[in-house]
Amino acid sequence: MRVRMCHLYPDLMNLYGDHGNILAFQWRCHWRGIEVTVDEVTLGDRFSPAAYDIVFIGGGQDRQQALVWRDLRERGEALREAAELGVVMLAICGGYQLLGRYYRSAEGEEIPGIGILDMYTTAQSTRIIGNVAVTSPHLPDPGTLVGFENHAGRTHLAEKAEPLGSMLSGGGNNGEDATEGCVYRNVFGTYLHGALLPKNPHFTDLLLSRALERKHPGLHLEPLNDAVEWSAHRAALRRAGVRDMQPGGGVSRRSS
Amino acid sequence: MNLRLAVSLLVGKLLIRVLRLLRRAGTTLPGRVSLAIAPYLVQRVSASARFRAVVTGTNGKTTTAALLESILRKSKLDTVRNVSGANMLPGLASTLVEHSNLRGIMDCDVLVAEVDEATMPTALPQVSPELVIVTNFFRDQLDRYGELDHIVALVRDSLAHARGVVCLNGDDPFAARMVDHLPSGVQPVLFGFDESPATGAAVPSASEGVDVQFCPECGSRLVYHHITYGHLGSYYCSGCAWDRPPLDVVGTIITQDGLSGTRMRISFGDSGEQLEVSLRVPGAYNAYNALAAASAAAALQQDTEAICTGLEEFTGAFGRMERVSLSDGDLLLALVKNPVGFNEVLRTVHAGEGDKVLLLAINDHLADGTDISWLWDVDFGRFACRDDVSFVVSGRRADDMAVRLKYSGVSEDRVQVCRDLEDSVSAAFDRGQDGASVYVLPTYTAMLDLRRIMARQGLVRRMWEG
Repeated sequence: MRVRMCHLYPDLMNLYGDHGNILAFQWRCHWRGIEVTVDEVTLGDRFSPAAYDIVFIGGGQDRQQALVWRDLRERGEALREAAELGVVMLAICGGYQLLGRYYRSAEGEEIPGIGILDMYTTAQSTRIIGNVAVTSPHLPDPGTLVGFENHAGRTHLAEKAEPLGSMLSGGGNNGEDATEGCVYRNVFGTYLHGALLPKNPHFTDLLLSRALERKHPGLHLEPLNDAVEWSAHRAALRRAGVRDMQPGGGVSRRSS
Repeated sequence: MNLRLAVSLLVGKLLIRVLRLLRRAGTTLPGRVSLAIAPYLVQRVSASARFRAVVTGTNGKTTTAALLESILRKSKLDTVRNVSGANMLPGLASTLVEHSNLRGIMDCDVLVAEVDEATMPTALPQVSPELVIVTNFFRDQLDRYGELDHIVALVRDSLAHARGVVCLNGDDPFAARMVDHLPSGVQPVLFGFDESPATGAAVPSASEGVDVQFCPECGSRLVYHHITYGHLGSYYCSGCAWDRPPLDVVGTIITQDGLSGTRMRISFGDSGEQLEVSLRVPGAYNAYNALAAASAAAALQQDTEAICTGLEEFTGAFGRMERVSLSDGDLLLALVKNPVGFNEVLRTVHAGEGDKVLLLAINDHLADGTDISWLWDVDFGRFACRDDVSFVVSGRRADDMAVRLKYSGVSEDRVQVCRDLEDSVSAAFDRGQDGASVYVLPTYTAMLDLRRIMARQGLVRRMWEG
């Protein structure tokens, strides 16, 4: 069994340790005896997204992101096709914004995105920064996600668009509607750094399952000993001000 | 005598004394209160020194400032230097309050002030130094600063108020570029290293070089003849004529003796003089700090004797590869704040002989940086297969650190999670019983806590020494 991964723009979009997500995929495959390869694709490289099981893109500084947008838009068609085929994609922060319909800069300029996720982003002068806790219907028990957000953009989902989850603590997509991230088929976009996947092993495994199921229907991933990860997950929930998970699953939201 | 200033200084001095009695670090509260009473305090008191020097940049501010102080003292100059952690305006004010009389006069020749990068726009016009040193720029505390480009712009714009001499790290494209933005009349001094067998590969590693990839002039990729560490080295643009500007002060690394230090040569372009120095602080990052301090000292007309001795006698600043003696044995304490710094410390530790125990104490308070994502840009993989290295993780983010190690290939039996800092020190020494060297790598607030703990355990050194 093999997982072929593509890491897009690792040299430009790795501002907040997002490389940790690649490590999470690699190790969780390795511990299960699943072979994993990671191709690094950057500006100007040839790229067929449909040839991969998982495509990953992180966040970057404004200057780098502008270069990436220009490059990635040229591959827009190929990426949209791959999304329809069910290729798993994880996009963080700047990468997430890129997968939307457009990005409206502070000067009012609308820069078109790839258009896989039905949302748009507007630039603001203030940043949403802090520890985050999210509850997501896409995830198995306890259904929480933890991370750290740091973004000036405010993302607004279209009415029919599906968020990744709702905020237990933190700003999320826009600080107003308590949504976080966006999901379409096997494409997941989010503002969560941390790095995201290491402390959310159930999310990593969800993405791996979705990727492997396409070639191996009915596959069940062997569970791993995730005591270390869950310790960190719980500590991060407390850090984000969320009271501990209840015995039967579920969390209580912080009162303030 | 200015009454308002006198009152502000008196209140500040009292607060400092009270906080000391209560054994609190308190490096910023006195300054904050004093500034509230007399907002022009920094300007007034700084002006009383005969000469002012400011050190800024991401890594190396404290060590460079301390090295410069070491050199100046060899020339029998009296200096006042703010301790690390007091490098924003209130902290700076606290230092000035402490060292001046009630008329706002400091009895010193040189004020050496390390200044936080984001504070440069406000601090530089107030301190009004005759010398500025810019060490380097690396991503650090992005939750506080936003983006690196923004920080670089802040420092660059602040230099519009510079006068006298500005020493810039020529090996850092961000810093080197500032030479074009200095006001007329300001003398730039560019320092950097030439190639030697001790310098590394010519390709920035993926996690370390990401901050600088493209030419600030034309946007094409930067290429390197050689790299000393991170994105520092001799670079040129693949698209246009932009490259590392000619260096005024050139360093050559002769030998790197792991933790024992570095032997280097410094050549001053102006005078043609050369000196060879045996530094007692390790790593390429300290070689840069020494070069920066030497460049500044030379620009201040200090003689090579003072420069050489000042550098060679320096044993380390507060928490930077500091050897600490406890009843159980020695430990090496090195502050970690950002990926490049952490990587350099790990590289140096890795080069040390024998078994090792690493106590990683990671906090996420404001002064540490609240976003610990940066740990994922630190390369712990080098310890994956090293059975002679074991870990104790502590601090508020101990669990995150444990996850980081697990996803670096370090087996769980080599990692002990010990959330209580005091227990973690004991645990580290227990693991170090059989002669393993103990290294303590804390983030800023964890370091302050550790020093308090160690002082309680009988260590003599006061924690507000810097």
